[in-house]
Amino acid sequence: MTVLRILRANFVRAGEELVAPFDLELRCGERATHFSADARAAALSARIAAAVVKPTTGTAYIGDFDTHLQAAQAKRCVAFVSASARESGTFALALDFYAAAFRLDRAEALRRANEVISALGAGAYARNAALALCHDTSLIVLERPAPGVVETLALLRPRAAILCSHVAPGTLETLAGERAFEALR
Amino acid sequence: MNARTLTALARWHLGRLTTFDALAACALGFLLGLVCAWSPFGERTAVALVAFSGAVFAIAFASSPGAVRSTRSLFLFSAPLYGRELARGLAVAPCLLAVLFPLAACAGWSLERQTHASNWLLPLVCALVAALIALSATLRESWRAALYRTLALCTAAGLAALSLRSHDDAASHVAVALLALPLGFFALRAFGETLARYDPLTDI
Repeated sequence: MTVLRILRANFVRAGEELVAPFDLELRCGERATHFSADARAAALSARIAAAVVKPTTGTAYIGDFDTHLQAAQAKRCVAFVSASARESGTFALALDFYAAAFRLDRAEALRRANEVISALGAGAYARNAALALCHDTSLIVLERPAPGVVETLALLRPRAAILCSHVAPGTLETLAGERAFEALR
Repeated sequence: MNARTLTALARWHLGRLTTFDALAACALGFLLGLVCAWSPFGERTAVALVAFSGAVFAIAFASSPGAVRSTRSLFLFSAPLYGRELARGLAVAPCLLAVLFPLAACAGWSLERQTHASNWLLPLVCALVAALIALSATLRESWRAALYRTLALCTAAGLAALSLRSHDDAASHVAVALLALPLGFFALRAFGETLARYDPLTDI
């Protein structure tokens, strides 16, 4: 089943093309890495895939939902882990909000978050991941993850598709998709 | 959006705003109320003065650097909510903080002089409308943000002036309420629309 489909999506701000048009298709259990020339493009491409930022042209679908027209429904199917030191305030309050927004039982959300934190350890990225993965999702989008994070999350959520955005200086929007879960399935 | 989500978002937002600002608003409001009560001003003038100062505080709260950081947080935009739903949740904390100043001023005034609670509805309404209009400034930069703050202040001043011009208290309350309700509603809608179109790029 296709969980993410991006068709010629780009991002333009103030006349400057920050993300060149790219295509991507990801099915359940697959893993892909999107390389960008700089950190800004890497962050933006991940945010486009996670429905956090709307593409200027082109379209992105998460499941059957268009991220531009049905952003709220699309966000329900994705867990987006930001690389920035997320200003999410007190963890308990942030988790309460996510649990309510995703219509989860608070205890269940806390159990899932603790599962991620015990797997990834302490730190801002683990905290971001714990918040994002407090709900069950078929797509995980990771913004510039540290080494080992993808493998750990793949073990935690074997059925979810994982998309990572990375910076590869000198590389212009090349896509390296790979099926990495043959052994797990 | 259910009540649980609204409450959780309001609590999260309130937790990120500084308690010092809230305490300062209470203290200054109380002081202004006392000073007005000791001065030869009539209640009507005092109420108008508090309404205007309260609007200034409400704008300062709603578009403070902390509120701006909080409103633009990437964390919010990953949640499966529409812009209008986020707007409702994000409006609760600034509105709660905005009413502190007029309430404290009313308390200060009523220590020294007798008053009717209904007379102090005007500062509350002005502070709420100003806070709701100023919310849109949090997602804008430079002169556009300044324009929204100015609009908020002018609206509050207009409501206060309208109340001052009227000789009939009941009629002025009704007139202010009739104007304030749609103004607040449209300000919140506009904030929701801005949130729906906003792309969180500040941290990259």
